Amino acid sequence: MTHAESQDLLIDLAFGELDPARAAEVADHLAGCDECRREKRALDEARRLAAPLRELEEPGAAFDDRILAAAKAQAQLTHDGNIGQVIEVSGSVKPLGLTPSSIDAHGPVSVKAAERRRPRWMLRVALGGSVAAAAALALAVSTTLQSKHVAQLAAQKDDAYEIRVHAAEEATRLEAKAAAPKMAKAEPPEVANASKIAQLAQPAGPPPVQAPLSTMKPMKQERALAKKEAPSGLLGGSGGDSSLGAAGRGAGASNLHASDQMLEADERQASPPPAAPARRDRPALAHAPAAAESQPYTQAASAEPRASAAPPAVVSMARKEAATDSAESLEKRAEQARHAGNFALAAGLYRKAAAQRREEAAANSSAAAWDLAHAVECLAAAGQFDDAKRVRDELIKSYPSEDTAFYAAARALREVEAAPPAADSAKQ
Amino acid sequence: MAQERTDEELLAAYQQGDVGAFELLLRRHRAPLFTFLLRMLGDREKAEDLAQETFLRLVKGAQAWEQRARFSTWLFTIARNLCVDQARRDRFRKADSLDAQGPPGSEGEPAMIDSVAGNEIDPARGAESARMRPVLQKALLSLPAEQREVFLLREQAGVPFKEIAELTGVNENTVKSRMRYALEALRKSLLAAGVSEEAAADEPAAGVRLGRA
Repeated sequence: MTHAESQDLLIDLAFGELDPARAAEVADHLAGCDECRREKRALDEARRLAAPLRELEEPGAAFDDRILAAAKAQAQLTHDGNIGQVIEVSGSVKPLGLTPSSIDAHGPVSVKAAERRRPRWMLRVALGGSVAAAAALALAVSTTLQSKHVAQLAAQKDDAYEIRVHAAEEATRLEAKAAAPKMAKAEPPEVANASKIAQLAQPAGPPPVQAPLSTMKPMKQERALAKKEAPSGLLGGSGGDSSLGAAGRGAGASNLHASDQMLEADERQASPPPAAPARRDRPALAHAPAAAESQPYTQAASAEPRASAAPPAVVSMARKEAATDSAESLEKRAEQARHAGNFALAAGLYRKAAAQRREEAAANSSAAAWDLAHAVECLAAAGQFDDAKRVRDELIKSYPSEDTAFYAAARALREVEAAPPAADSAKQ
Repeated sequence: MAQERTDEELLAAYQQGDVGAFELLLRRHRAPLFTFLLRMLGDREKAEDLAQETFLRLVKGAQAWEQRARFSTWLFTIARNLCVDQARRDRFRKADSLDAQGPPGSEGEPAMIDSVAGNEIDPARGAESARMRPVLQKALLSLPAEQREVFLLREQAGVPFKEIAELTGVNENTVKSRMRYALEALRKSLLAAGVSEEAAADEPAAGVRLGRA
């Protein structure tokens, strides 16, 4: 072994990372080389001096709580079929409602006007959206939400929210559970996977910017499925209503119909007329208001009354109205929707505002960029990560110089894009 | 007693919905991860926040994790990236904050060295070691962050050089030379601060667990 080789390997030797044969070679060299021996001794001395730094320390007593709560919630999202629309709730959610046995299905979810010093995005609560959600809401809610934004809104309206979760009979639940996979199978696989993909948020490459409609489709279909599922649940469950899916979507989801339609309107404005995919949605959409009327969730969905499921005529009026709205009023409404926790609607409105801004002077490119950034944030908050990524890509493409807006959008997606290291790294 | 399950087995079990497996993982890695962040940042509160954040991200990414990747490497990759972000934020904030002055010549060091002293004395540990730790922490914080992270990843977290290279995105030789610089700088500053080898010598040479008698 040469002196240079030995020099290179001293550090490996010090940390025991050489195989025995190689270590013996270095040791041989050390025996006859003062310089290497001196250096090896210095390395060892430094390690001994710094040894107390290796002592382990424990974090505070409450360290595990939040992590374990998140781990449980995530496991249930993934494994109990409740992998639909994800809505971020600001506030603290007590985990006691997370097991089926301890659920108080009649327990009202009240929104308290309590002020939190450090409001946090605490927990993703899955509320409806997928077929399976119809079955899985039984697992979901007996929680107290404390939300500053919602509280503000509640204060404005001077009345509290109440999301009622009605008890479903066991039979209904089982039936619905059994029905869920069947229905999922009947559809193209992409439908079944859509929400899962959004949920897992795998760091796939950004989807092609050019094809917004085709990639939007799975989610829409999925929601359409959920809509179909709701009434059939009603028929099946005597007495116990089918609000499993329906009520779960109460706060946000019935509004999603409206936001879907708005987004669709958006797309129609911004791009050539959609072909088959959008039309495929139509029957379901047409069906939705009827279902909504007969469902208790329409009453529960007081979060955004203006946007709650309305008869078709009203919806189309709203759509027309929206089309002529100024960017500012759109932004205002988006902000309201966002504060009400209705992220999907907010995202749609923001995108619309961005489109509006784009038509105005070039001076407004910053405002448009920020609208898109907000849309990304809202989509991410609503769990629609694929859409969020697409809008983010659109943002960087259309407004490459708007760094801050892009950074805000990227931040909204950072969490879902934090992924395990590449497979081959760390393989050993 | 059945043989202990590996990290990777536990994570795979969690992927199947076994929350108990995740809890075991958490208990196993909580202290090493927290200690890494504590030494890296020199601030208990920040370290706890980032450690929690690391595990929360782990939860989120668990379904996408592949068995081929080593769990601990992934864990420390997340933690290390959070540290980088934190250092960036600290540097940014320091620009207009008088009360946050890092040691001169250090880059983006949190100025929390004093807070390390005093509040971490654990009666279970040797008095000598407790007395020295603030000095050691201070010496550690005076290293450039790239050297400090290599030192801690290898010395405290036990990550081999090759994996540190992957984790930090530099080549293995760079990692090793950072380690040599780190050790040499520590040796000099500790000897200058009066830390003697006798005082440190009662520390065992390899992985020390808190709470040993």
